[in-house]
Amino acid sequence: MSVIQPDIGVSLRVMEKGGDSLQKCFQCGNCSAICDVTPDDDPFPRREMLYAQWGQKEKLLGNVNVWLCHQCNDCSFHCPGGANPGDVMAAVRNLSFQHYSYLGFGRYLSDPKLAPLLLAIPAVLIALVVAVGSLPGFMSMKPIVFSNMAPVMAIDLIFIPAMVFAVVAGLAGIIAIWRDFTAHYGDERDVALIKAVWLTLLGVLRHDKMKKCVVNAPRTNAHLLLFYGFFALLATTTLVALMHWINLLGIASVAETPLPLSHPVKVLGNIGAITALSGIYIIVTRRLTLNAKQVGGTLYYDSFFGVVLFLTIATGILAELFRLVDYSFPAFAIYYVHLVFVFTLLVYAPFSKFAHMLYRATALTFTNTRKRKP
Amino acid sequence: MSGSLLVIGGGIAGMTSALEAAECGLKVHLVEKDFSLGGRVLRMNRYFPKLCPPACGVEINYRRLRSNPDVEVLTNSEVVSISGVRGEFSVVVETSPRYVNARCTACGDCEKVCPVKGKDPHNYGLSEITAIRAPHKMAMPMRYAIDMDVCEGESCGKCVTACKYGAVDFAMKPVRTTLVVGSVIYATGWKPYDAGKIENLGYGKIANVVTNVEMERLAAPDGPNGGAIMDKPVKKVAFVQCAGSRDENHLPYCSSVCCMASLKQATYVRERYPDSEVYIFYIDLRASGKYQLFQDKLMGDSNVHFIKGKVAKVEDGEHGQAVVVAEDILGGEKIRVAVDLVVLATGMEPVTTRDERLPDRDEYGFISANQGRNGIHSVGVAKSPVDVTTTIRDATGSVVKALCL
Amino acid sequence: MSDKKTGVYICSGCGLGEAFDVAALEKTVGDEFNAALCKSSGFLCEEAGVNEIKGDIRNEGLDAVMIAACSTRVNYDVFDFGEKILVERVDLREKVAWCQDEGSEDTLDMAKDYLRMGAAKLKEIELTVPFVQDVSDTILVIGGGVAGMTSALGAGAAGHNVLLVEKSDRLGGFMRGMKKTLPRNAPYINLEENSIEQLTEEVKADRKISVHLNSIIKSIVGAPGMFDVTIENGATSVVRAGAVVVATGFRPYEKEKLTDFGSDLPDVVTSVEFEGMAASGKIVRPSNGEPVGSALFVQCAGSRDKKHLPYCSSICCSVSLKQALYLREEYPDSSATIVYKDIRTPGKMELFYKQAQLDPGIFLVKGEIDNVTRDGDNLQVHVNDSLLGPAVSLKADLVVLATGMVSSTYDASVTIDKPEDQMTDDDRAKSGKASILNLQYRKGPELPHLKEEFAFPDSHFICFPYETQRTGIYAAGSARSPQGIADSIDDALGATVKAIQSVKLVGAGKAVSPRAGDTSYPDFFLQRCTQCKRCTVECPFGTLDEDKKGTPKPNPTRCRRCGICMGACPERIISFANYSINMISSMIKAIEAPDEFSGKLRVLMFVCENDAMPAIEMAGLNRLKYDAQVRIIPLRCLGSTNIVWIADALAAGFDGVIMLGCKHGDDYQCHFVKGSELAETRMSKVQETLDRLMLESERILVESISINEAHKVPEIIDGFMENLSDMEPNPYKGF
Repeated sequence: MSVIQPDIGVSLRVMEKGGDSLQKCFQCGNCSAICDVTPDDDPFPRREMLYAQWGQKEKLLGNVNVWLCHQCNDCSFHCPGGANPGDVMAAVRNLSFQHYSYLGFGRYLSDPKLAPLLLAIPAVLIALVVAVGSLPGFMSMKPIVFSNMAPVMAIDLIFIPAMVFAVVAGLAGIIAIWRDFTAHYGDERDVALIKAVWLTLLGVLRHDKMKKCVVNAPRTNAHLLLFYGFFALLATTTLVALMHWINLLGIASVAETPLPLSHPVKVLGNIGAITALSGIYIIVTRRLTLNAKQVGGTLYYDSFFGVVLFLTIATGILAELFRLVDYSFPAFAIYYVHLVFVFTLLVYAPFSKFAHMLYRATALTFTNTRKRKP
Repeated sequence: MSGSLLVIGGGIAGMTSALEAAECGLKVHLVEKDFSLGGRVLRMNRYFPKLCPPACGVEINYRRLRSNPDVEVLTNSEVVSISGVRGEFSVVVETSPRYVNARCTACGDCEKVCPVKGKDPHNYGLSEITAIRAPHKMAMPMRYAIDMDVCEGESCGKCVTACKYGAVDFAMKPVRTTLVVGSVIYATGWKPYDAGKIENLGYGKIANVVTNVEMERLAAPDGPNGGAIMDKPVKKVAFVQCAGSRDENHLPYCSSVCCMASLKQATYVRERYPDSEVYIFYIDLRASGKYQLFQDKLMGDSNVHFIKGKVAKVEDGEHGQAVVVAEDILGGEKIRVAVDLVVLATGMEPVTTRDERLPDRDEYGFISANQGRNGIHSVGVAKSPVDVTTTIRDATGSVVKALCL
Repeated sequence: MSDKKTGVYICSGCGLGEAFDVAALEKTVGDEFNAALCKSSGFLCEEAGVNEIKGDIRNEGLDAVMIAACSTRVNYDVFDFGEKILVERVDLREKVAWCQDEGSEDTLDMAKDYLRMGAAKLKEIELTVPFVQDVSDTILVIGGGVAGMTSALGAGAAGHNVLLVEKSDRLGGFMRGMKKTLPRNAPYINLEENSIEQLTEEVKADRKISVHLNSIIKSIVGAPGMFDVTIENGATSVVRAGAVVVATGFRPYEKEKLTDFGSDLPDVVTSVEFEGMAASGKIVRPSNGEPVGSALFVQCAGSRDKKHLPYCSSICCSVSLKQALYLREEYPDSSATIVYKDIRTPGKMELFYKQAQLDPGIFLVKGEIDNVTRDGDNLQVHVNDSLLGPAVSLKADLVVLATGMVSSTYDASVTIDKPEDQMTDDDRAKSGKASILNLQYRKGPELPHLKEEFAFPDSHFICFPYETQRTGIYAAGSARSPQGIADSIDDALGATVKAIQSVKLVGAGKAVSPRAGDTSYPDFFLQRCTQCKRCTVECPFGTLDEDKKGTPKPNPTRCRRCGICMGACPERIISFANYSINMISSMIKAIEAPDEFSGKLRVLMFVCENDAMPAIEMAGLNRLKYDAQVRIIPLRCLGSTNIVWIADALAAGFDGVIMLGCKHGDDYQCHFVKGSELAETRMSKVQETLDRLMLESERILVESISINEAHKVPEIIDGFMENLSDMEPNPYKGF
């Protein structure tokens, strides 16, 4: 017999994080039935709605369903009570982010007041790099070479440790949530972990789950654009860094930045940028123009992530354009901003909305280790 | 005319108000929009919880009407405007032509020659009927009428020739009458919520998805298929509760009768087909008061399955079946049940009237109860979604206000 | 029709002329009846046809008219010649022409027989003279709660004097103790201020209403319009009233019986006790007077429970939501949990439910209460099958039991020491009845309850919720079914209208529902009464009292004119001006029975005119054919069947008798409660007699039919004929 104590504090926090319609739920189960993403033998989000109403934190944390939800909003759109389960699940995810984030940093990314500080850290760090490492008179050197302002070495000196921190933080979050999943559902596996990871990867690459969304179906393609665009850009950045190190370490002689427009890596980067931006465009315009019941409410941390992602890509493109038209000051200035956002995006990833990728992939992998009804 | 009363609506509520008032000594005008009195209840097969035929009570009321000279019935009529004050309202009533005059004997010769058919509104369009017809066998007045939406007009004229009594009259025109009455009772009733608006439930798209009002006709011995429900033996039926009620996207209120209506309709299926299985999908079972005993009786039937969980969608299944999808909340699973027939327990919406100025309506269209002091009252489902017996209590009680002038 | 001047009018329209030879009918009239005139018309209901009849009435001085045409379903208002003219409608259309073969000899015979039956009836009946008495139009309202006061104000406003009798020392009833009331006005989401004080003031200020506090009804003697009510209030006084409204309300189900729900623990209170705390200003834990941090509301505490009240008390869900809001208002940091089976907030109350739910401190969950125990300073409520888990335990400072409603008319301590199946109706009339009305009626002092397991004096009829078994006495509010304030107000007004109506109808010598307006009434030829008491026992309405010897004392204003007493009487001394044993016997005897050599059977059919007769007419409207050897006689109620008619029929050579009435049993449809059941009982006795006379008991068939079962009419008749054809003809034919 488990003792249950309603916790108004928890439910109020869910409401504050966008689940403000939570109390309207009267447990009809329409949401679980309409949802095409939910497994049949453990349907969500109806039960999670009750847990949220009752503030049952321990039933929500480590609840794999919270992460299986892709916020299609079919549930919210059809909810007879106006309870918007999609938003409540998003709010619960937000609270989970904060809970599982390494050292609890997640809460800083959900606090609008801290945004200036969060941006100031990379701004100062990069400014230091520029102040210390830039070649004298880099501004007037032609052609424009960004590493003249921010030497790759110096940048990497900041980025590599920062990324290591991010990866460690991400892993810590994954381990923490995995442990809670196991505590909730037991650790008997029906499927080998490696196979589960593979299944997850395939599913994510195909967006299998998200493709089941109905009322918010156009978002799936937009997200695919953004997803693949982003990974193209990430690949570009990684390749450029690799190429730099290959040259530097004398492993081989490969093209140096700035790469010509025709270079395959450059082509990849530019296509990635355009693809990602069109994805963002669709998502943002849908969020701005359509009913929140259909596309879901937008929280601060959604916006923060979206804006940072957009500005990262946009400043990258702008910097490239100014470089190509040979306007030094704007090119360097924007590149500086670009670096700040790249840092913000990647280093804060485990604490921002970006981490949905980590936790959701973890949850998918966890569920892939066991047989559930589709 | 303080000793007189206008009752708008000739359904069970209006008939009751009119008769109770007349039996208290008031002069009553009873105005009904349709060709016949009787309203919605006459299209029902049985009442819950007694499972008795509604026509029985209507017949008793008809008999009271026949023997009471104090009720003047105006069918095919609508109130166009109400002016004046309590104690002396001036009411304009427009009577539309029925194109059959008082010489009609209801012999049916015209019907035999009528070449065109349209959907029969008495059967919610589940069957067809000739343009000239008696509204139904329980009609009062028992006089034929022509549905001009279907009729080919005077140029056809077959009915004119067939009628031995000169009762068909295409020259009839709308007639306006002015009544002076002391008070007014709106007993304008309800209409079923348009199930087509509930997109996911497949009404009008998926075969064998019907509404609860249609189910009443399908199960009625005098209905379109003699009460057989379907044209084949019925094995599995799903009842979908709150189809449009308790739903902010449709009707936010509870229609209050649908739970009992579905429980009752489950007995239609179980009685007619002893091997059948019935699934009732609900949010809360609202068998209030003594109706609980009816629910308990059905819960004792192992072929009736109660599933807490609102049906979210109805999909096409194999072999002409439909599949209902719901979370079986108590069972802990999401289920898909393939059935022969899906009955949507659609709710009740108040009927709006032509007269725009009166009365005050709430945001759902119900006529507010609290206009009692001004001589205009509402009863039954015109006021709030209630069942028949509550309607009748209300329709009876409201007469006191008309007596108080 | 010797003493009446009768005109016979036969219509040949609507296919009648084709179905049978109208001239032959006219000849029958001419040969057999002593009619003043006989005419036929191809269109009798036409204005000209009707005017001709009116002319004949005027010119020939007719005092009776036989219209041999269609049923009264059409043109019911056409053949109305004023109160002084007896009109007999002989239905040759739905009952002959439209259900029989066109032009056959049998069809003509049938039509002739119906004419003969009509003539026989006209001969036996008289115009009714209403039983008019000087009646009181004062309305007695018992119970001074919201229902009673609403009723009193309604009746007062309608111009009636009102006696409002309340047993406590103040008006207001349960509602007086309420902090707030549930929403009744748009937008239906806000609790409303308790208006009981205002209502009480209105009652006190109403000069039409005389309020009797601290008073009970010692006895009620008499009949509607003439009730002599003894009110006891220290002293006794007798006042006259015309009709009664019983609005004595409910009492909460006994807390002591709810020990499963921890009712013996100090911090477990009922919803009524909680309301009291809230209204008096302070919600605290009774055990220590401390504030309440968490309260748990248990729904259906004793309702929907076979061990307690089998029914749902209908209002508890909304009340608990209301009380949860009280708690939250008083202690903003508190939590209020509601454990329910189903949330029952029908209609617009749903909007209030949704509004209350918006409060984040209100927690709802479906579950079944297992038990309530003490856990140190707290209470622990164990809940099974809840949505939170199969077995969970919830903590609370205070547990509120939403206890159900028991009708104040129910008193479990009044028991009859007999097993249920040995109880007589008289026993049932007393068992479980609280002393409220103290009617001095042969059939018990109180209103009958609907069912034993559902001890409310409710109407059995969906369409006629005030059709009680005691004329002029109407129950309303929570006394008669579990209901809240809003419903009680509507209900109280309904009962008031019926009470007013009863006074008016009774004053004019007319019957109340279902034969509203009927001015006939039973006449007792008491010289021949043998004091067998069958009439007094069988009357379902408690109309007849008995004197010491057992002679019935008719109380015409209590009577519903069903004729059950007439059917019951072995001495055949009860009759109505327009409905009597002789009338039916004459009709039976007027029918020509074919002789034993004709090979034809003859069947008599007694048909209840409420449901079965319309079904037969509907069969005609649908042109359903049935056997031509049946002759139908409509009855007010099958319960008015006197077995002498069966003897008459058998003696007249009928081969069988069908009795077609309404469904009886628990869900009876008989408008006179027991009519069809009584008929069946009487017939089973006749069947026994038949067996003794070596006649097949299958010659008598008692069947029930519903109004919408016209298709069963041919099935029943033809099936019966088929069974009869296997038997020899009635051996008494020709005797």
